[in-house]
Amino acid sequence: MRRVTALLIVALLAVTLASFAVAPARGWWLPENASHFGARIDALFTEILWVVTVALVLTLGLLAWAVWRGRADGPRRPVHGSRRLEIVWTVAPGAVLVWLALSQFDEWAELRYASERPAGPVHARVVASQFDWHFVYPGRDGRLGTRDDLDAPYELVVPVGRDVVLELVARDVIHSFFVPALRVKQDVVPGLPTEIWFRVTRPGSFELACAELCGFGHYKMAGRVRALSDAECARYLAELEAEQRWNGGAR
Amino acid sequence: MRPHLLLLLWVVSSAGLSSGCGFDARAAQLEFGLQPSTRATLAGSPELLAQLEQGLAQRFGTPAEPRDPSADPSRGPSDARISLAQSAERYRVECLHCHGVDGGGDGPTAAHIDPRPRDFRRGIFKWSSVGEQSRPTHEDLVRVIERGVWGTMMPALARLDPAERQGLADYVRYLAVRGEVETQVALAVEETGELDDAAWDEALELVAGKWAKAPSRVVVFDGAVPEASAASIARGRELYENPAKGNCAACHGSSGRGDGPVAFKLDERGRRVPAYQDAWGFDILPRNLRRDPFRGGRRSIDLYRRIHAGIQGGPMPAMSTIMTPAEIWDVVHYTQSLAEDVHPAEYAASEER
Amino acid sequence: MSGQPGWLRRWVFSTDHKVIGIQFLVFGMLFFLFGGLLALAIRWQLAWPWSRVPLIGDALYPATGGALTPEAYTVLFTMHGTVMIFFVVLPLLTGAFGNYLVPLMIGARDMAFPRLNLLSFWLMVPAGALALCATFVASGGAAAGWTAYPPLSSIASAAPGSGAGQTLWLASLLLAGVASTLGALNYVTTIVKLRAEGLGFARLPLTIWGLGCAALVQLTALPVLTAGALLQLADRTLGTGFFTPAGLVVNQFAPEAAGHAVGGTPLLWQHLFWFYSHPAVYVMVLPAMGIVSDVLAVHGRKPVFGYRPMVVSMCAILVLGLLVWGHHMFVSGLDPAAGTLFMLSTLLIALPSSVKVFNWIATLWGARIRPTSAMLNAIGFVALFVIGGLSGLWLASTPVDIQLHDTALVVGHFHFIVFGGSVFAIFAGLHHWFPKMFGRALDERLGRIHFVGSFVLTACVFLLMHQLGLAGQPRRVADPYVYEGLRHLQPLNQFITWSAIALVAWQGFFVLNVVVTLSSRARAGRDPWQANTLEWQADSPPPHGNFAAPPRVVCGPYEYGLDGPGADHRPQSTVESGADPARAAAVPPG
Repeated sequence: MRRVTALLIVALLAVTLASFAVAPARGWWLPENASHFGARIDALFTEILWVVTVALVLTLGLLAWAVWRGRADGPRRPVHGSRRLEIVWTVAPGAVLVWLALSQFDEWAELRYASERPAGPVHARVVASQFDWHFVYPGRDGRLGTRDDLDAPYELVVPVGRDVVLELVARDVIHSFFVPALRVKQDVVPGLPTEIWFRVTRPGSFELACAELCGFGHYKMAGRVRALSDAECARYLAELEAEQRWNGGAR
Repeated sequence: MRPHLLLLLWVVSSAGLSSGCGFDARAAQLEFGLQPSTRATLAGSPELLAQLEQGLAQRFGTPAEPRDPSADPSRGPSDARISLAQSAERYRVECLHCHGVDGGGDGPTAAHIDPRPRDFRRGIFKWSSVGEQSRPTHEDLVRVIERGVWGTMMPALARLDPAERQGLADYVRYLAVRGEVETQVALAVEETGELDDAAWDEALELVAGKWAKAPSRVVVFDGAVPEASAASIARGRELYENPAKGNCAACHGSSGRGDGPVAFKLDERGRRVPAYQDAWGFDILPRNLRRDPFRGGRRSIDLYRRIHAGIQGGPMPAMSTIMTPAEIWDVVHYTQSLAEDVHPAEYAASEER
Repeated sequence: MSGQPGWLRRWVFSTDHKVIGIQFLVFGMLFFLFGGLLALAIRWQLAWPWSRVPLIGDALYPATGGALTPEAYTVLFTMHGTVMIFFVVLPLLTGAFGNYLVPLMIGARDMAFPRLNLLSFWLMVPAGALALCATFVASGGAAAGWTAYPPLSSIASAAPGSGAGQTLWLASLLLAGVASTLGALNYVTTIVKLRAEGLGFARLPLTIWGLGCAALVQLTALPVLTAGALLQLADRTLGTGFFTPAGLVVNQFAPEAAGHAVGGTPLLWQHLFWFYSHPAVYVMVLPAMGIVSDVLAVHGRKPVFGYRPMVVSMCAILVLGLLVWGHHMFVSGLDPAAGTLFMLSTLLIALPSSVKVFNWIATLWGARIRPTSAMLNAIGFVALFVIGGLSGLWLASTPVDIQLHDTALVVGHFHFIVFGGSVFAIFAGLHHWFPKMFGRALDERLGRIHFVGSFVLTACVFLLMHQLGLAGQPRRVADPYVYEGLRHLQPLNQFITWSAIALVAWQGFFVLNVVVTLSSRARAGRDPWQANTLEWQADSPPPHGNFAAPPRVVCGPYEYGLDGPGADHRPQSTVESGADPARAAAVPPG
């Protein structure tokens, strides 16, 4: 039974490693990145993945080995501890953890500190409510909250290769603006308008999900972020504007 | 007992339990019902009720196998890529928990939602492009399904294929027609006391005729949509306040906050309660034009149509007989200015500068 | 007192810590079953969304033809989380083991405040009843998640469950909170004041250190959550606005227009909630760590490696645990500078945990392992806890957490800690102390079958959740497949669901074991494991008052693997077993 348990631990280790190894090829993995800092988040993820892998192999391997050879009639060992070993396994992981912490500082600051916000106007206001995303563009006057604002549900259109600043607003409860392919997630808290920024690196249509429980329809709160070239973006906004001016007749 | 025997016992018994007790993930079994109004109309004759239910099933089928006896003439054969049965399944997953199996706006989630999910069975739809007393067009239904109704819990279903959305619109129309025919037949039967094929045919023809007319009833403004100017907004404001013209302030309040004097009344205990009810019997308040999204859309033509044709099922009246199109545009411009974050006066001033 | 106390006094309103401990055990196990069934319903929906739920669907959800409704799904995961944390793991670890073991392991006759103890359990009972009411109330069960974030939870119109259901939920939480605080007060006082003669802090078994640290966490942080729950209750019933910002319109309800106060902020609740509810994870893990340390030593016939570092790391977890709550709020709109600090403290708290893991491995290194069910579960704890702990590193990293926050990866991570960790430790503890509690040892073969299946199935259920989260499946989503990018995950979810069904069914072996054991006549004796700590010198089960004579402690708890003739271990007190007190006293303290 003891050896069975040791084998079970080895199997657990093997399956865990395998589940991560086979995952990328099967799409059980981070979706392909499409934002300028996403690659850095992915790099941090991979860095931690290696730390995790080494630590996992080390600890589960030692554990399995200890269990495997721990015969009930083995020699007696009334060992109470070892100061040297304690120092080793306090300092070594401690150093790794501090190194991990230090390697996140810059990314986090760049993503979130207000001093890093790209200059320029807000591209669009994202209005979250039960159970819908609505996007409001400032229109010709460049100001939000005026009559020439353009609006559309479900799909946000952003230019490729440019810094995009969004203002997130919630009308009722907390929602969360989550675009997996862009590595963007920010809670949308009522009463707390929040700005986020990112730059999309390739054209495409990326799924937008709500990642904070917002009620029974939480799962319905799907949307999209479509990244277009500047010209296509301008054409899209012109179409929205034409809709604003449409007289209801033949187009 | 020996452990391996116990193991065997456990596996066998749990397998037996799970297969014996309806461990079975078949699709849901749903059935249509009758409207409360129908039951009330024919309360005296359970036979006729049963006949009516049977006749409905004969002509309209079941949720699993729906049949539409009045196919929408505005839908070409090339559009019908999704069968009504497929749309029924889509409806079950996406819509049923609010709108109910009959489209009665009475699904299990409905009681909690304000405003209530639409009851399709009267054929009355609020957010449409058509004039008074008209059924909506296919495009109207598709638009609501695609964009949702901002400011309510009706979500945008733009994630579905266009064909799926059109199929859902077909199914909504099917449920509406089924409900209307049911009501018509029940009324006819109440009068004549008997239920024959003629009653069915007559009701079907009547209802289908209403739906067929919808495309010809679309409200269109003849000409280019006028630009908002400070003068137009000022005129709009006058019309908005004028009791003989727009009289909007009576309900929507002179500040536009939906708090006009006639919007509320006092109940017997002296509390301020909504004065109006909608066609479905639920309390209704005028829109807060400053704060809330415009549910029927915020394009100029959407607002124009709301004022021109009113809102079906609610107290918002059609203004086309009282105001000229130019005047309606003035009110549209004023309404749009109310919805701005900036105070309208300030905005007008900055525009003039 | 004259004569025997009546049945009620002895078994229902008893002040005996052992009876109360077993009451907590039964209470926790019943709720475990309930919470497990809720989990299966959740899994059913995630595997085959909107299909007829087997067995109960037709009866519960006739309007949808037997399929779950979206609001029912929100109730399921809300109550699954609430029940498992507040009514299963916490009562089992601190309530059952805490009550049963603290006086016995420190050589006391009972708790410091026996009647407070009684009150603590009898507050948990209505709390549990209210939780059941909050699930089944006709107007809609509580549905704002176990985290109950306002305004979703605090505005009645926000969700079907935000009406009466949420009020009942808060009342339940309040009662459970008061009960836990009273219990914690009792444990700390008992451990500090009632230790047997000679039992210094440096001779306390690690189980007691774990329970004591957990109680200190509760004493420090729980009042904050209780106060938060009171504020939310006030927001809901008195029209205050602690968590309500201005300008809300929730389902047409505008708080200002209804005369409610506004001007608060939803983030305040998140701080108050996580200030306790993150440390609550440590309350669920510290006693587990202690139990596992003891089981490893007893069944490995070897002293716990690094007793002092073990104690220091527990205390470090206790202190750091109070400083990491903000890592739940990295993407909540929290000031990013605070995020940086919380990232630091969160990464630091991984250190004491890793020290403990290395010490457990060192304890097992060269141990003479008796592969008892208790031992297997303890080893299983270490293995699964390692995985859960390591996947937490991603969540501690603020930039990576942006991507992974509120995804299924978080669910996988904390289930490895709470199920793989705490629950395996609970099973280890039950196998270990069952002979003491009921006078009969659980059947070893059934115990092993139960362990192997549970271990394998736990990995099957929770491991792949990491991949689901990486691919972007958010938590608490009733139908992940509305997202095109998640549709290919359905087979994975179905595999997890089948595994979960098997895992729940497999627990039948434990139930069977308990039934078979309790109906058997074989007696386990005082000390079936040849263990050192004081409880093994009392009768099995111990009588009222526990010890015939107050024990006198002569050494530390982990004198195992001793060389020389005779026993390989030295009990902490040999007075009761009739050894020569003079000889015992001559042994220098360990």
